[in-house]
Amino acid sequence: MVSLLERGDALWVIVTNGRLWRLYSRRAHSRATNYYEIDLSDLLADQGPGFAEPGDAFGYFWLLFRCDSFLPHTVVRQGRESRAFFS
Amino acid sequence: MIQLDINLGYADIQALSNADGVAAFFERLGYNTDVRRIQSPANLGITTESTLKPIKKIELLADQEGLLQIYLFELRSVTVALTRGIVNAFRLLAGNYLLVLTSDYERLDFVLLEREQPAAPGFGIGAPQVKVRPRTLTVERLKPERLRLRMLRRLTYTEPDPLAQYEKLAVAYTVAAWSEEYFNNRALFSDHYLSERLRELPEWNEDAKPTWSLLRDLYAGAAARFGGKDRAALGRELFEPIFEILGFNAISGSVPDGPTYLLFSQDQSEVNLWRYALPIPGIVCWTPRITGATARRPR
Repeated sequence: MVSLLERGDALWVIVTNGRLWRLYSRRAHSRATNYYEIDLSDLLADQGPGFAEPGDAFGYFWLLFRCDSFLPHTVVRQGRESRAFFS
Repeated sequence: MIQLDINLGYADIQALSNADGVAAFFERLGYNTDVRRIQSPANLGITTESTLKPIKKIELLADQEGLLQIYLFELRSVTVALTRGIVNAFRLLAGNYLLVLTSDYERLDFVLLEREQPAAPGFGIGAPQVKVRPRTLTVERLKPERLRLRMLRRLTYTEPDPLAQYEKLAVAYTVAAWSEEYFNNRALFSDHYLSERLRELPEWNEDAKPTWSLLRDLYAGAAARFGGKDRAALGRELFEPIFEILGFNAISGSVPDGPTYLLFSQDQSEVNLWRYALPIPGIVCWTPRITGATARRPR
């Protein structure tokens, strides 16, 4: 997994066993030990204030693991446009 | 042997109201509790008066081949000094230990003993000795936090031998030290980004319910539906539908020991955008077990 990142085959790697979902990045300080992890089955069990509504917790999976989040977006910082991931 | 961590609920923690409840908890997590027996403090080398006096009862709850044991300590009160005193007695005992300390079963301390070898070997009376460090997870039985619940799930006995299981426990304690309520962020994003900026994005307020409902349907009864299935079936029935729900076009990897899937956007124009940014936009490695601080290579 680390060698995939080091070779530049991908900027991001998702590692999962179905329950835990981990995100690794080529840009991380340590590609082997820096990661973001979510327990998806735990998040899906969490309900918001309304009946059958996702809780806040689900937003973290939805925003960080969906395809759109990996697409480069145009952002404007200090009047200059640039392309960035994860806004 | 249990393959995945047990899905504990709040009721499981609330049931830890006596020694039998704690033993049943560890039995459910896959530990061998057939060996339950009361222990005397002297048998464990606890002889110091200040440590002896507050101990009401000691019970061996589980024993994994003598290499990993779980003890329950019923105490008059649980203090830092007393915990240190008890832990220190285990310094000279071989094996690995998880202790459960409690005075009233309202608050339980799950204490993992971690040995620290001296930096340099020595000889004689002045030689540095092995130290034992307690790593404590405190659980309020009647109102366990989500974070604690998640941590306790990781105590599930899933490893092939007691030494590997102890390593898993040690990692679980390490992870608990930097976990947040909803996620574990091991320095990949800044805390400010996750707790503040992400929630300020317009996307945060998008309706996630359709996705949530689809994934909930997919995960309903997952243990029974997917347990024992081979990798190809899991990919077809679980992972590929998930990637579709998340908006990816998942292409199976063709290189042995390589990534399980390569992820692309489903929209051709976006694929071009991807290519502009990345030779391969995303890669997924599937692995049956994730226990260590770093993921293992896919098998």
